[in-house]
Amino acid sequence: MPDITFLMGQDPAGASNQFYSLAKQYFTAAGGTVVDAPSAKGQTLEGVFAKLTSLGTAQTTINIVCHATGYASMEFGLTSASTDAWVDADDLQNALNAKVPAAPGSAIISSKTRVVIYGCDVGRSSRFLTMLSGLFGDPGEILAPKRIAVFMLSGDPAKPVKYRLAQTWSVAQKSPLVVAGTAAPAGGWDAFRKTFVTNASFKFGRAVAGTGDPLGDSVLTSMLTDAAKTATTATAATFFLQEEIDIFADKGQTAAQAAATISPISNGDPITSFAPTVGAIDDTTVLTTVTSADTYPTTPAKTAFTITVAILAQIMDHEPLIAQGPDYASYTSGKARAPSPGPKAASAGDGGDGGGAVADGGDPMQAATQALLDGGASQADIDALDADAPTGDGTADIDTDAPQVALDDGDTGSGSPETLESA
Amino acid sequence: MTLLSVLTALTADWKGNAIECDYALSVDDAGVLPVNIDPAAPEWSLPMSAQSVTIVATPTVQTFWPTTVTFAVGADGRLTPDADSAPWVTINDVAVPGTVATKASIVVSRFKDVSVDVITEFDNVPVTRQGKPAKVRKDYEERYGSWPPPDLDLVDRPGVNFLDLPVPAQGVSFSPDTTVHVKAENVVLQLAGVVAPKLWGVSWPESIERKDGAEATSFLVFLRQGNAQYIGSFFAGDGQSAYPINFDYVTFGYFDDMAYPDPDVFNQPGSKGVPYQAAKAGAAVVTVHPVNSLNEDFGVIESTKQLGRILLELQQFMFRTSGVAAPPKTLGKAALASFSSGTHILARMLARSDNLAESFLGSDVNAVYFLDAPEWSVTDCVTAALAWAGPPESDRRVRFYTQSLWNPLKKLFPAPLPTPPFITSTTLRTLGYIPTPSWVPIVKAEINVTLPDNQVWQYAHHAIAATMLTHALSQGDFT
Repeated sequence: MPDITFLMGQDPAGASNQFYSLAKQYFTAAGGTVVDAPSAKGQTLEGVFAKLTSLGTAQTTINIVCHATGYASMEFGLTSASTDAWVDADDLQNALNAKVPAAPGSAIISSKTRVVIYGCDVGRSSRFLTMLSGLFGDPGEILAPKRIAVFMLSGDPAKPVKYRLAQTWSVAQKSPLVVAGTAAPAGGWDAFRKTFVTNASFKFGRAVAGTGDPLGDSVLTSMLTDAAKTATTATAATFFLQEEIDIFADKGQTAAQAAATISPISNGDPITSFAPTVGAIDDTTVLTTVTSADTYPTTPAKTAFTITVAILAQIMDHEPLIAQGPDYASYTSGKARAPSPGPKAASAGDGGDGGGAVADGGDPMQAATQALLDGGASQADIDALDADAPTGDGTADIDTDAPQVALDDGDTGSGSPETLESA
Repeated sequence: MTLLSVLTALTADWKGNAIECDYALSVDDAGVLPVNIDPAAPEWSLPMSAQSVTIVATPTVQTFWPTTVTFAVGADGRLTPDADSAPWVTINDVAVPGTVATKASIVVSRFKDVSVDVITEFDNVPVTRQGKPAKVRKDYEERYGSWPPPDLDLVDRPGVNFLDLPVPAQGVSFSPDTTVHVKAENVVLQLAGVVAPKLWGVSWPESIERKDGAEATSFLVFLRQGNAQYIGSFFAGDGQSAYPINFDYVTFGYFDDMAYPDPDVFNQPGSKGVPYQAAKAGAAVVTVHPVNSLNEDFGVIESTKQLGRILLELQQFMFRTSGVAAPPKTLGKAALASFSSGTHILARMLARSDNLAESFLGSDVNAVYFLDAPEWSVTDCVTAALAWAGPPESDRRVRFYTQSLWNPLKKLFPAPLPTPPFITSTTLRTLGYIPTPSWVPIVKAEINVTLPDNQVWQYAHHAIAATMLTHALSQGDFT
């Protein structure tokens, strides 16, 4: 049974990133059926299911080509009535609870079907994959990349487009990577690269200790410097891109209030082991968690806020292994193991999706609390555990830069008269 | 048997303000245990077999260092921090037979101890200066008798001629004092996240005990000369690493202010021996040596609010590393000493309106010392210091030592002044004037060396800092 591939969008006119066009060439050359997005608005999950239902054939491999982010989101609508261009795990969970869109059924998607995502980073969220698997009707396996997914020209006439993943390093910043209508960051590429490498070296340097490499800090900085030195927003061996997380206000809330109250969101599940080597220190081994402190207004009147994550990417020039491993995450929906979708999480911003880290245990503190109460502990004692939690912000009022100073006209910087050598 | 042991962790600074962290927990020195639910408020189910548990809390901000705490797991599942960890973590738990829930409240610091790195760097001696062959190691061997030092201990220097105390109404004299010993813990700490100063030398006398209920600590902050004059000559190049740890920073920028040469300070007054001078003066004070950077100099501490906050953090760090879980939360009396172009940096600090409005400079700083302020700086130094000091009832002390009696210095005491050399002093003011030429016979008398004419000014410049700080520290400014 040949693959069927759904392109969930179209490249905007003039786009430098020909993601969908190149993907179409790639999958067409590989054989099988390629289903274009029906319009510039893109394909919906409902449309995918309708197409599969209309084919009426048991599927072996369903490829989904779609822009996505490490913050557990993909760029498609759930149904034709959807107004959101992006879906996150909450949206999937709501859809699953509402059973809309409905999966095509086990005659088409079965335990022998695998769904393969070709979209950036979304394999880092086990909760997203769990929900997506449920919406597809629990196929045998759903696979998604842990890294940025890139289609690029190969230079090989026999196979003109290749599919690659990219190693990435993310740093949140309070400005767009490139202002609309310009080709470079404010201040130019050199200055941006220098700042990015400095910030990334610090951020990712936290993981160096775990490698046991005494020269790890220098190695990391060299690795980042090399990756950044020619990178621009043009897709190449190394390049920069940005992910933007727009903040939407609830009813009765201003944009600023919404920005100030968002819950932290991470670009992946909690990291549970150290990077074994400095070369493995990247977004897959060090999370980027963004908070309200990372938001900034995008309009002078502060009617809209966003979070920008600048990402340095470096193509890993090998054919990705589409199986559970370093390149892809796999979710298998054995019925006995599949977690219940349950009610929608109360908090927003659950991009960390930590629940996936312990597959079967649920919330251990909740279980312990119940056991303590059953064992005779008082609620007051248990409540006392939560008392004295740190409050405030320990970083408030810490300056890291020198204050502005006005030098004296005669300040030679030296104690010596000008006729003498300095100390 | 404990069937269920659940651990959660929270992290704060010493004042209890939250610090967001990444966490890694390992059991019995084995692999890292998966974190559950939320990396910012982690929960772990501990294995029933666990004997020990280690948590590494790594702040997600640049301004704090990671803290590692280790616990022993009792038969009842309850956790007990080991001795090194105890000052850095508080345990709260609830237990019934078979089940225990534990909260670990971890403290992170802005400081970490990099003394070992500094000691290692002592031996990383440049072989060139500005690209030309240089005998740096030989110079240091000659200055200190041997090089590198094996540790940061400040060995006795029985041959040093200290300033004789008390000073007479006119004249100064020097002589050895074999009763002077620097019995102190000397460490170099690194401050996280700031442009400068990243390195902080600390000499903590044994006599200033770190124990539960100890009084707030008194500090002397020594501001060495500004580094702008050394661009192109020291602190960078010749194969040296970037700030903060390279040979020049750990020697010229730090060690030379701590140590005295062998055998006598008069052999090389570029070494200031600040802790020796404090010991000679009998000052109950911790000396603190921020190592200024080549390009940013003293950076954040030109804001005295920042300096005060950093000293509180330093006090917390030093108490906790000595096993005290509840260090003082306020500072004792503080003095700010400055040398050469560093005097102008101190003058700027004293003159800033935002500094004058905050509590460290307003309440904790009790004295300011100026060691041979250059002519271009001295007007600002005198003006700012006297304005800061205010009326006598403020009890703020101002002490100047100089080789040139610049006119602004005459505002400190009414005429007539004694015949130089002299150190005239009251509780609140000092003017020490040891004229440049007078150092020639002093040096001849102490070490039988005749200073060349073209070296007298530079020698006197350093010698004032290397000897006269003793007088300032003997004036009771910390009691």
